[in-house]
Amino acid sequence: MINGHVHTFSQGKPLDPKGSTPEGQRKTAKIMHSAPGKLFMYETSKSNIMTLLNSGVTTIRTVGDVGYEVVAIRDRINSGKMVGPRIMAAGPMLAIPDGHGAPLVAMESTTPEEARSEAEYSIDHGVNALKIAATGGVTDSQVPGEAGAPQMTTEQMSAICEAAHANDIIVAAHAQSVEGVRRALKAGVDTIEHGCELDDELTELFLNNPNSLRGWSALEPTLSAGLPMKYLSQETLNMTDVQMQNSVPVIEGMVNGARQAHEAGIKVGVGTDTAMPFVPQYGTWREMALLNRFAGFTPAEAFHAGTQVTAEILGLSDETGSLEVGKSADLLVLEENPVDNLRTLEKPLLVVAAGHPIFHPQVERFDDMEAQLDEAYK
Amino acid sequence: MHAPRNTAIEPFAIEHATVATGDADGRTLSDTTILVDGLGKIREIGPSSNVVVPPGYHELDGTGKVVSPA
Repeated sequence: MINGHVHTFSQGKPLDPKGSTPEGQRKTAKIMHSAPGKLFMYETSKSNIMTLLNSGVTTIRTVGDVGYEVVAIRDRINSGKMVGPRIMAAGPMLAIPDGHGAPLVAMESTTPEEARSEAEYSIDHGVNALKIAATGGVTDSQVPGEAGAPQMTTEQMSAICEAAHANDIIVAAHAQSVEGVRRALKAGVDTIEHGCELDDELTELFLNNPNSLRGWSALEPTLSAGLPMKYLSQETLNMTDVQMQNSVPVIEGMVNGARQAHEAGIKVGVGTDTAMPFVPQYGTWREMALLNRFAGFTPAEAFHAGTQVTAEILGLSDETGSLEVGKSADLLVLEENPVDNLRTLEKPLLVVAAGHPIFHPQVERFDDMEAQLDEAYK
Repeated sequence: MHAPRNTAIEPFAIEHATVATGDADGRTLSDTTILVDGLGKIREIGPSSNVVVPPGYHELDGTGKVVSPA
């Protein structure tokens, strides 16, 4: 499996709402940028990446890290010092001051020049992906209407895309409203994360986007991050009234957008938004089950999305995503055909990452959370 | 200096497995053998009756199991 929307800073248990305010984030950011904090974040990320690998995920893209810890882990894997998944790492997101993800997992800019210079700073630090916060988000929202409200200007986002594309790097954008998605696509963003209900203009921009790296843009709906907020209680989620209220239109747009994009032939990828509440690092299989259950994908189409399509979206089809001579040996041995039962992907018998077998792959599952999610999607 | 952990790949074959291709139409390949070389690449994939497992390859029996892209 390929997961195109990963964060490695936590395991995916419910968050403490006090920690997601700008003040709370600033406190945590200060700790995490100290020397012991950096070491802690490196070890946390490594452990979460090993969970992804043991769950059967052999390629990940991170889309918002505290610093460049995932770049360092990627380099250790690529130089043969440790076995791990193929990694595209974005480093910190690029946001506006106090925007989505800022300041804990984002750098802040106010002008196109600053935005470009931050993108180049990350590229100089070795990232091979970039991520923009185009609109507000749910989990750190403080006022009603914040999630999906446009934050970064088209000009700032264009500057980031130009810097990235000049280095053959694709850009992801967190965007949760029609206006936010429109601005991001016009700026040349290559993947829209979460998304919204699509109109004709947006559909056309996805299919034919002259400012993107490859002439088209893709959607990663991340239903795994949205649907828990619809189907679990506020008490279980440990979310504020504002967050609950903001999640409603975002989830509706996410689900409808996924369905519309699939019908329109837009490339729809698998990304779960790991580390968000109720999005454990081992749960990539569930996104395919949700695409099947809620967005009109057949099981075969959902599995196709989690392998070949996401490989293509990430620009990796020459290396991975299918079993063909000359490609990397990224494969799973399973009890059943995933097309007959997507849940067989939950517990692979054997994981092979670039030819490295992981016999008896094991992850620590959160039994309460799994029972709650199974009940919610019954 | 610490020696790096050994991440060398030992070539292996998975034999007699059903392959779930990941194609949009759900296509499968029956009784298939896959060879993984020492560089971690897929060296060969085809009907078990046609694929010759080279000497030195570990052999894993995939009978009754499904192999898919990861």
